[in-house]
Order: sequence, then structure tokens, then C-alpha cells
Amino acid sequence: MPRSRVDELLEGWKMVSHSAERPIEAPRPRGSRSSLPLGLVAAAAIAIALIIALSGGDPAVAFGALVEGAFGSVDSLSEVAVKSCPLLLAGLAIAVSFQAGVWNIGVEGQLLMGALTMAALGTHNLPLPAGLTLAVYLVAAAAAGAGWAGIAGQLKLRRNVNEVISTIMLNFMALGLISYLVQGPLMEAAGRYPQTDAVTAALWMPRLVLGHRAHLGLLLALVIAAGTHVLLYRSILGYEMRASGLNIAAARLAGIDVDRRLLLAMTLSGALAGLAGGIEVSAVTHRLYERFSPGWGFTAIAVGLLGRLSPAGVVVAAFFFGALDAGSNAMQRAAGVSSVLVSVIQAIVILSLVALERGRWLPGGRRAAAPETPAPR
Amino acid sequence: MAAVQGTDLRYERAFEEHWDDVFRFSLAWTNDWAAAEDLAQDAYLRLWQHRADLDWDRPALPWLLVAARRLATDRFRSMRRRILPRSADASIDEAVRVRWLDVRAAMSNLSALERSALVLTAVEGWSYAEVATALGTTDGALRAAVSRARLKLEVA
Repeated sequence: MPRSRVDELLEGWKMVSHSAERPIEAPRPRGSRSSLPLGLVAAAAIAIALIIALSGGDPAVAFGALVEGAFGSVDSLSEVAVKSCPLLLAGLAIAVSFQAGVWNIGVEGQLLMGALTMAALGTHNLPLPAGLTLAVYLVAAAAAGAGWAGIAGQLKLRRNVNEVISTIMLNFMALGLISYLVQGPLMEAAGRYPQTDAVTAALWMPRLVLGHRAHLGLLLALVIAAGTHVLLYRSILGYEMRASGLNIAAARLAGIDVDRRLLLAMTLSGALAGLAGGIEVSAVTHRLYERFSPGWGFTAIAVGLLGRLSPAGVVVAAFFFGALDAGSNAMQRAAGVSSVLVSVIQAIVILSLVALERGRWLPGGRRAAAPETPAPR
Repeated sequence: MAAVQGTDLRYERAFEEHWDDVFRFSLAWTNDWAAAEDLAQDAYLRLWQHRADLDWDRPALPWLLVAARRLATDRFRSMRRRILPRSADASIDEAVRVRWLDVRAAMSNLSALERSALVLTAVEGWSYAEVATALGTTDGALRAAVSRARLKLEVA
């Protein structure tokens, strides 16, 4: 009996499919997936304890004071909130841009432009309820940050200028501009110190608890963090931005308007940074001066990377860095350890992250990311 | 720690025992060599991600097959297959490539369900119950798909 066509095909199928070879190794994702690498923090803590001991302090006392200074009382908790707020927003700015593969190192400058806007506008009242005026000014601060970032974005798209260079340069320009303004046109009316006049008291960000510095800005930042999460992981726009960051060529091939997504990521990042500056002026300093920012825009890069560029991770990382900041003075008082050591702690955390993780958190460094974060329907 | 290592071992074993089945199932479902390799890979990554909350006393193969089938319908995957030039099936052995092209062409006239139903029962010798579970269908629908597949191939 002649073999039927079906049998022949099935035999062929068997021959072919059974010729496939099993891969040598079982598939495994390349990075661990926890949002805050606790193991690293622990390893860093051990290294730091050694440094404290070497510098003549008692690590246990120092750590105790650090924790006490950050979480020991309502007042210290409030300080953590105050310190975390700009880091959180600036960290989100990093997350948004880095996820889209846009290396915005200019968060510092964009934050300063937002602060400048708030300080300049805040001495004037609008014929509106104070709350509404504040909202308008915050939007203006965000717009200023977005515009500042937009310069770098446009330069990249039109002239192919590397955004790392242009954003760093724009940082210096923002610093110089503020330095000039607070000593010139925007200098306080009293004319004594190089700082702006205080923002009208009606436009001060409301505080959460009377008598403590923690302010509404933190809640706002948390809401924005949730919004950023939705944007990045639950919207098509965010999906396309992340796709552009993971593999720009593939994203372009898939029909994504990569240029506009990159510009959007850059602008959005700048807006978040500008908002951070605006909130800080309205809620904490009430005025602008040179050295207004202790480098939030740069610490934010560490916050973003430690938080694995996810909004939830950034929230945790921002509180972690905020707590370090708030606790550092207590540590200095109690253990006689320089509060600068906190910068060392932050640096060690970041260095161990870089050394041990080999860039897995960066876009393109995570091949396992695709199945974890499916496309929105 | 011991439990973690136990899970790792089970994962390794699931890989060694079932990789071929997962790949062949994916090949039958997609009729595309490179996609099948991707799917098998991704199904195992899924298994790895869920290794902590999985009941390892139950067989892992049905879980892997369902995962592969679901991954196959992933929007991004189908989009990618549509836009990227068909890869040259790099890992396929040169000697069998011609035969595969012939078989694939004939099999492309079948739906994914028909092709999988026929191949898995007739070539791989799986039971109808097993195949029905993996394909998420009923025994009756499976038998109908098998005979439909035979009919289509004979006519072609």
C-alpha cells in the first residue's frame, strides 16, 4: 500500500522537529527582580560600619543615631518627608527619561528653573483664590523645567547633539542665570543678601501637621509617582517610550514615532524636575538663592537607579535617601561621625549597585523585561 | 535557602525533561522554527518567575504548554513576527532545512489548532486528554480538528 501524503508529511515533521537540540542551559532571567536590592544595601552597611570603626567611631552608636534621627519622633519623620520630596520627584524625572533611553543629566538645572519660576512669580498675586494661584504657579514651574529640558531635546532631534553633554551644560547655564538674577534683577528689596524676596505667605504650600515642616508637596509627589507608574506601565504612550529605550531600532521598525517619544520623555522629565523645584520654594525655602539645591538633581540619578527606574522603586529609594539625609545630623551629634559620611554611604550604595549589577537596570540591559511587562491592551 | 535550592533543582529537571516537548508543541502551534524557540525560552522564563508560588508536586509540562500557548498570542510577539523579515531559522540543521520548508508549506494550510492537534496526537503520540488540556479545548473538538487536519492535508 503506497504511503499517503499525510503520512509522508507527518514523518517529515517528526524527523525535522526531533532534530532540534536542547539549549545547553536552562533559561534564566539576567537580573533579580526585587525593586530595591536589599542585599546590596546590607553589603554597603557592612562596608560603612568598617569605615566608621576605622575613623574612630562606634558603628552601632552611629547607626542607632542615624535611625533615631530619621524615625525617632514625629519631627524627624517630618524631616524625612521634607528631604524625600524633591528626591522623589527628581528621581521620577530620571526614571521617565532613562526608561525611554534619554540620558537626562540635567535634572538639576531643570529643577532650578522650576524654582526660579516659582520664586519670581510667587511675589505676585493673581486675582484668583490662593490655592488656585499656587496651582497655576506650580504648573508654570513644571513648564519651565520642561522648557529647559526641551532645549536639550530639540538639540538632540534636530542637530543630533548628545543629550548628556547638552543637559550638563544647561545645568551650568541655569546655575549662572540664577547667580546673576539673585544678585541683580531679582535680588531682595532690602538689598542685603543675594536672594529673592520671600514668596507671598498665601502661596506657601500647606503643611500636613501643624508645627512640622512636612508639607502637602509630598502627597502630591506620591500621587504623581502613581500617575507615572500608570503612564509607563499601563498606557500605550508609556509602552512606546519604554520600547524606544529598550531598543530604539526595533521600536522604530515597529512603527513607533521614536523621535516624538524621546522628546516627550525629555520634556516630561524636565516638568517633574521643575515641579520639584517649584514645590521646594513654595513649601520649604520660600525664596531662591545660590546653592539652593544641595545637588538633588544628581542624587536623583542615584535614587532612580537604586529604584531600578520604576516609580514604586523610586518612592522607596527616595525615602531611603531622605532618611539618610535626615538622620545624618543626629549621627554626627551622637557618634561624632562627620555627617559627610552619609554621602559616603550613598556613594557606597551606588558603587556596589554598579559593581555588582553590571548595568542590568538600564534599558537594553534587561532582556527578561519583555515578558514581565506585557503590552497594554 | 534549602527550599530555594530545591526549587532550582526542580526547575533544572523541568528543563531537562520537558524542553523538547515544549519546543515541539510551540513548533506545532506556530509552524515557525525561530518563534518556537523563542516561545519555549519564554515559557521557561515564566516558569522561573513563578517558581516560588508553583505547586511543584503537580507535573510542570501542562503548565509550560499553556504558558507557551498564551505567550504565542501576545500582541507584541505577533506584531514582531509581522514586521521583521522571517529569520533564516539559524539553528536548524542544514540537512533537514529543505524537508522542513516542504513540511511547513503544507502545514501552513492548517489552523494552529488543527496542526497542533494532528502533530501532537499522530507524531508525538500524546493522549487525546493531554493534548486537549494543552490546547485548552474539549475532547470532541480535538477529534474534529484532527480529522479536519487530515482531510486538508490529503486534498492539498
